[in-house]
Amino acid sequence: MAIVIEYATEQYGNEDIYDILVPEIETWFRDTFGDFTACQRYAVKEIHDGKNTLISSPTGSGKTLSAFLAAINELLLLAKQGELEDKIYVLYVSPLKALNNDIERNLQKPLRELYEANDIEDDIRVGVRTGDTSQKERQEHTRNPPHIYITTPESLAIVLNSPKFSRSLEEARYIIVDEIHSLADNKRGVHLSLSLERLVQRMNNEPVRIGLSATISPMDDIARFLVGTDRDCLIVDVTGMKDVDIEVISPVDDLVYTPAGEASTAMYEILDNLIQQHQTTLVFTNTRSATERVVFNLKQRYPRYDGVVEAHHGSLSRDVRLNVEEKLKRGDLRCVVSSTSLELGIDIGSVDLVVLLGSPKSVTRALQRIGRSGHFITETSKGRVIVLDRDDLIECTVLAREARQGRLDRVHIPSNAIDVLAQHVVGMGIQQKWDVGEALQLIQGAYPYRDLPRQDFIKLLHYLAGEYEELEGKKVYGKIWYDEQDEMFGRRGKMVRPIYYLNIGTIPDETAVKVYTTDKQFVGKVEEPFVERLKKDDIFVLAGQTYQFKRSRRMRIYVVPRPDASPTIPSWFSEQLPLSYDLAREISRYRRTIAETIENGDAESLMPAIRNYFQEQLHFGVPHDQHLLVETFRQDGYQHNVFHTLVGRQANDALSRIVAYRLTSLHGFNIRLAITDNGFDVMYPERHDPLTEDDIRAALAANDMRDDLRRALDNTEMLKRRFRHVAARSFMILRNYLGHHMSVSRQQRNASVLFRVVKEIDPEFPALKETYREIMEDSMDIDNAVSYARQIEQGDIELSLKQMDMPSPFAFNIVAVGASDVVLMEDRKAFTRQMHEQVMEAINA
Amino acid sequence: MPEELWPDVHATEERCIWMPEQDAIVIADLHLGYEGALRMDGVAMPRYQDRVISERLERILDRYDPRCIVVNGDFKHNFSRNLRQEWREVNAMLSFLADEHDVHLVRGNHDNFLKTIAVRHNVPMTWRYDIGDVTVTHGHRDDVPRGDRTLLAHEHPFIKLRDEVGATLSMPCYLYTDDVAVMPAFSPIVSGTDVSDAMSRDYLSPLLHSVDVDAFNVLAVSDLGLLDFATIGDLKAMYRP
Repeated sequence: MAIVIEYATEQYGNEDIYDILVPEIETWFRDTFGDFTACQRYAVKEIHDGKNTLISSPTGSGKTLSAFLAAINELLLLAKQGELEDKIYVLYVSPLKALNNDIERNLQKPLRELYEANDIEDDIRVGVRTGDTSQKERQEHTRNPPHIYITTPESLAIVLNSPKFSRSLEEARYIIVDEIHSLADNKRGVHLSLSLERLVQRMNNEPVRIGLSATISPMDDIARFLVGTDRDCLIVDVTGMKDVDIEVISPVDDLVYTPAGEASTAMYEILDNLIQQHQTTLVFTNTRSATERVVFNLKQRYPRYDGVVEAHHGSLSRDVRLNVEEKLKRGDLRCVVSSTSLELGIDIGSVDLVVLLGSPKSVTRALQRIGRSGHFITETSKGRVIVLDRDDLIECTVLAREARQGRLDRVHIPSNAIDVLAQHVVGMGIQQKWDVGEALQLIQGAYPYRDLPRQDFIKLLHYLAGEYEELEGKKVYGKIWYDEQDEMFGRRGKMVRPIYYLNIGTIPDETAVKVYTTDKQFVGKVEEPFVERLKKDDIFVLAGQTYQFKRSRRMRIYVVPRPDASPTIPSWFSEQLPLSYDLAREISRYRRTIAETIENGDAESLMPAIRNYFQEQLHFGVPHDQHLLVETFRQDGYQHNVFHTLVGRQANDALSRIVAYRLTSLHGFNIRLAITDNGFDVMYPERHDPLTEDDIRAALAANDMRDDLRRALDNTEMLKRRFRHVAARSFMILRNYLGHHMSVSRQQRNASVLFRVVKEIDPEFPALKETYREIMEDSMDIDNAVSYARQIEQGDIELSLKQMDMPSPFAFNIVAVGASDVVLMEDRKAFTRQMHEQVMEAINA
Repeated sequence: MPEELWPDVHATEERCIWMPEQDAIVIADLHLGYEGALRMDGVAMPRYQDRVISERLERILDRYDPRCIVVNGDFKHNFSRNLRQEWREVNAMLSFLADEHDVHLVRGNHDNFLKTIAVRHNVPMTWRYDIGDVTVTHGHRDDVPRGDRTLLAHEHPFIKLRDEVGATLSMPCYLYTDDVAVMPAFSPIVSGTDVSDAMSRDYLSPLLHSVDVDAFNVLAVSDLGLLDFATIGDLKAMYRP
């Protein structure tokens, strides 16, 4: 029987729905709301009939109630008859702890109202379990199972393995996954998908799965992510029903030559006007520091904003954030400025305007953010995008167009993540003995693992059983036993259960890295993702001063003050959101259209800022979706070769490193890279020649790109630190062991030693393979890099090489970002020789 | 090619000191059992160091054929009494060495409980050992009297080179002046002190806190053999902004 994923087409009328609801609920609903909303009309009856349903709808559309109504209905029916049993009927999973508390209030209130208005025999119990839930409460859950159980993905994985409690869990009839769009593209979601398969496999009756999502694409993939590879699902998509009013604003006509101060003032004037014209405005920036800066500037320029404008971001304490959320809900604030923390579904009351400062880098994100405005589905979502430079202008113009047409960028769901699988295999082993074939079938039932190769699974079993290439000594450290003959596995050792409980989770321990000068003065802290991208002698700003990075040692870095130097890497570099590949391609197409418009003599029809930008670039050639421009020039002692590959930063990350690696192998010198969304710059000392067309074609050859990227990643900070994350997830290094909590510094030290050894003896080691996969597929975008290279080879994209005296206008932003990476030469001997000669030359000189 | 640091005292690319007139070699900082200690920390560490150390030792014994083997401390790593397999290995290694050579152990900070094993194999273990006109001592304590020429370990020194575009290369190294020398670690996996960037007070060894470390000559161990890198002071001057 074919698996059916289909879109709901039937909207039921109010009366049809009331027909299936118990009278008490009908009365309550009529009194409280009156009409059913659109998504309720599509979904409630279907859920009642037992269909798996994915509901995608914007804020204020009654999404949550759509999910709960059928379930509460059933519970109330049983409660009335005194037949409510002591088990869990509804499992509700959400990524946010805060959201869970919100839902409890939204559930508790209707339930209270229902109970006050009626005489009902049994109580419906609601219970919450997160990392913050007290031991006492948790024990109470086991003694007295709540009928509605609210939890997070991590806590679910833990209770899955509670012998007593999980029995109550296996009775659940409804499984609701909220904010599923924010789970599907990362390992937390992957982890959850396996938990769900494990849970459902133990149930006697298939539960109904309900997913709640914001705007995202493609919906089919999200539906499969929700229900697994083997089940039907109905999609209720009412996102298109809400109108979007989106406009792009440029603060000044000339984004290049208007002095920075003037442009800034103009921008704040526009912002001020917008805030004044609306009740509550939500402003999104792209970095936390920008958030702080904007709030600061608004209050300074317009003192009347004191007390009614606040910042909200991840670096603020929980109390501060909650405070801002409360004020927002009460309507006490005119404006809240946020980076990414308010993207998700926390109820923030009514917002009637969303302003985006600078490009949000993806259509989906733009719509998710703008969708936060207009609390009721009848209200239009209103968004204004203020651009900060010429590339931003082009990008946002295209983005607005795509947004109006509802053309979203595609979500990337990580596939075959071995580290997450390792955790669950250990969990499965704790629970019972498994036949390998059956276990594999269960795992492949989860969408992210649909293509898991059997041999990768076997390899993982070997590793978890403590067997490495060196099969000597006792396998004392296995977490499972694995019988290859009988094809069975199960748990092993007394420590496995506490190891599982205390080390479960996908979010890596990351701690701020302390910054010291080389004479041991403490300067401040930076985040690890930033350190991942640092290279020696990079100059960055911290606490208002500039410093040069010298070296790192696990969780500390050492710097030298450089008061007069200009930064080579912005401090927010790791925070910066990448331009999505889909949007990047649209922008490239747009560029071609503009170029053609000008060439056809129709330049006057274009906006002046855009027209001027392109006319300047035409002297050099306009790179677009059918034209790859590579320009070479000398500057500051370096030979620059700028590749205008507009494929988004993730694909450029892959592409540029491959190119640099290959060029280094060809020519034997070391290369420095600058990588942006719009292209990359390959730099080396100017005594070497600029690249030739043959060089470029060889560097961009589509074959062997994956292998070359792997080689290029060797010896990078990124590989070592990511390995720590993956090793921890795979239980190779433990955060909690035998009662000790291991500091991040110690974890990194252990990981470094492990890494060196594992690389030597078994390059196919699961944790090592997964580290590469995570970097290459999830952080970078190797697939699109390869596809782009193929297009060049096939002639779909024309290559032109231009040797110039200076960078083209389109190249400015690429060159200015500063070098971001370095590629090591592979032949260490030759390198050693060269280095030695240089050093002795310098010393003897 | 071995390089002479002092008369009859040669640094080798196999990370041992060779004294041909004394028919002896000196090795240090093997840290046997390090992997076991990591496993006790919950790290799923495969076996690696043992194999590499065995291979290196074989090469050394083959090439230099010494009568005497001096171990300048940290023959083993600090690990729990419960790691029976690791204790067995330490025992086996010492037994193997002591079988056909005169072995002398100098005590390092990680060598707890080694004494009983040493006694079992009739291997003497002391705080310092004088051979030729060299005093061999680990260097973790400053109350050990020095000789005219003192050979230290404990530091695990290495240098880190960077070129103009920021690429790096790390190499373990020997440090030496007329009266003090520091040998590199024998273990392939322990971390150490980056002497191309460290000041006297950054060094682990208290004996070096009062030494002008910038005057140390540097001899690096690389795939190409030993490389002379002038002095630490010269290296640091290269990288001064």
